[in-house]
Order: sequence, then structure tokens, then C-alpha cells
Amino acid sequence: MFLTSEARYNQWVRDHYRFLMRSAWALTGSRAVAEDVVQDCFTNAWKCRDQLRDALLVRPWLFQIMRRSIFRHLPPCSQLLEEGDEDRWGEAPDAGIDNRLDVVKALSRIAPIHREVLVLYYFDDMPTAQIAEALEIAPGTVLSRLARAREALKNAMTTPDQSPKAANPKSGSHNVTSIKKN
Amino acid sequence: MSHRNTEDEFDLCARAELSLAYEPGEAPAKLFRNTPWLSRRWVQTSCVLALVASTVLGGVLAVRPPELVRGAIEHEYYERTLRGSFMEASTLLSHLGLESSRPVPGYPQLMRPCDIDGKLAYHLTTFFEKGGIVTVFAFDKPISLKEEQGWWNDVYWQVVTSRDGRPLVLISEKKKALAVAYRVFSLPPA
Repeated sequence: MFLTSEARYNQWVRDHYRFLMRSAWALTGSRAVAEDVVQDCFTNAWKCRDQLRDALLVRPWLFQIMRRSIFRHLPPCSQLLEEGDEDRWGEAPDAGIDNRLDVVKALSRIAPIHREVLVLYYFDDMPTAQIAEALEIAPGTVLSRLARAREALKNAMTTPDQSPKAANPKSGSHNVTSIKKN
Repeated sequence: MSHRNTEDEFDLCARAELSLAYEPGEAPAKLFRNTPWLSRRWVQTSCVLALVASTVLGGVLAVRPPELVRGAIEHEYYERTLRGSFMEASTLLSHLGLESSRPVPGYPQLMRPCDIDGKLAYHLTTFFEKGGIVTVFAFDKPISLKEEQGWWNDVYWQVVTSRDGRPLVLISEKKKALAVAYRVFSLPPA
């Protein structure tokens, strides 16, 4: 069936909005910022859609663009990612439920590189090869990073909340690895 | 094995809880593109094309001569190189509204009866020294053509009323030749 460019764009938004929005929300910790990032991501991705080599890799490709969009256009987001600001993470809608709160808070406390891999693995159930494509790393690295991320999440859920700011504001990002700009 | 099961269970729980915590809902309307009809490129292009086409068509219709004149122009085109005298000069002159005893105006190139759109016509092609080649058509039966002039198919044309009050069709490649022919065939003798 013939679809206009506009209709194809709208179909694209319908197909990938939920995945991108969840990922951006989990990575930035703010729904409002995530909405801006996702909008930006769709616009940029549509402009350079010819660069998409394989239609099956559309989600990893969109994730790459979204990840760069966070850094390029919204520098404060990278701060959010590094600091793990508890107040912002409190924006999660169902944070009142204990278990959920634990996971959400735990996710905010782990390193961003671990958070990324978990977001892709948990939210989209993405295969290793696609996660590797999305994060621009080797597939073997994905497996090891996923294992470490899972451990980190478990630890963050079981260990008491030690807010870096409360303990030592200057060492707030000491044990948190920042996402590297590729 | 037990470790693996625990891992799967943990993943399952984490996935479920995170999915519930980060529920984005449906995409907001602002993300979708909805260009108004008039702002769409193809609609604008179509409007411009329609405007150009109607302007061109209107222009063509405005300069298009009556059907009989168009037939005469086509006839003149096909007989432009034909030369000869195929009828009596006096008969031709009488149909042109001129005195049959006088000579044919200019240097006659072609005199013949012909058929234009099913109407019998008398065809005179003559050369005026101070204008050029002109073709004159007089019709056997009364026809209704009002006096007007124009340009069509790369020739100038003019409908004039002959001295005896019948319409004549003049055709020439040069406008100046038409002016000379008009003086000869339409205006009363000085």
C-alpha cells in the first residue's frame, strides 16, 4: 500500500515511541526530559533515515541516536545520569509501591553503562547482537556487561540507600561510570 | 542450575516491575505530523500547475480565431507554394467585391475556387510590392463573420467587409501586407 512520507513517519512514531520513551525516561530519570529527547530523536532519525542499513536494526539505530541526542542537545541530562539524583528518580509514576520503588531507585544508583544495557535488555528484550549494535560495543562485552549490571542492580536493591550526596557530596560520581560519548 | 533459575526469576521480576514503573502510554499528538492540505507540496504544485494551465488555455482561447478563419489559415498553409490561375479573373473579382473589368490587384500568384469546411470559397493569393504576399478568401454563400483581426499559427489574419458588403478573410505572414490588402479590398476607391 502506498504511504505518504508523513504517514510513514507517523507509523514510525507509533511503532517505536513506547520503546524510546521508556528508555529515555529510565536513562534520564525525568519524564519531561525524556519527552524532549524522544521528540528530538524522531526528528533527527527521520532526517537521516537513509543511513539505516538494515530495517531489522531500526531500534538499536534509534537508541544510538537517542543516546547521542541526550548528550548533544540536553547536556543537563548527562548530569542526571551521573548523579543519580534521587528526587528526580522519584518521578516514576508508581513509586509508591515498595518493590517497584526499590527497582527504580536501584536502577538510578547503578552506573549508567550498566543502566543502558539493562534498559535495552529489560524493556525491549533485545537480542545480544542488537544491544551490541545499539551501544556500539562487541557482543561479548554485552554479555559480560549485562552480568555485571544485573549484579549491580541486585546489590543496589539489597544494600541500604547511601546517597552519595548525603555521604560525601564531592565523591558523588566517584563510583559511577559516565556514559561515554561515541 | 539453581543460580541460573534465580537469575531468570530476578530478570522476570525486574522486567515486570520496570515495565509497570515506566509506562509511557501512547505517543502524544504533538509527535505526529499532520500537515494541512494547503501546505502539502503536491497540493501547492498542483495548484500552480492548474493556474499555469488555465492561464495558457485562457490565453489560447482568447486569441483563437473563428472556425472558418482557422480553416482558411490551414488551407492557406497547404497551398502556400501553389501557383496558377484556375478560374476567370472577372469571376473572382466579382466575388471579391471589385469591378470585374479592372485588373486583379497586385501580382496574382494563385486564383482558384476551393472548399473550406464544406463551403465554396474563392482563393486569391497575390503579391503587393509594398507589403508582401497576401491570401484573400471570399465565400460563395453568405457567412457571418464580424470584422476582427489577430495572429494564429504563425500568420496574421483579418476579417474585412468587402466593397459590396460581404466578409473577406485576409491572411498574410506580414502585418504590413494585411494593411495594404485592407486598403485595396475594403475601403471604397478614392
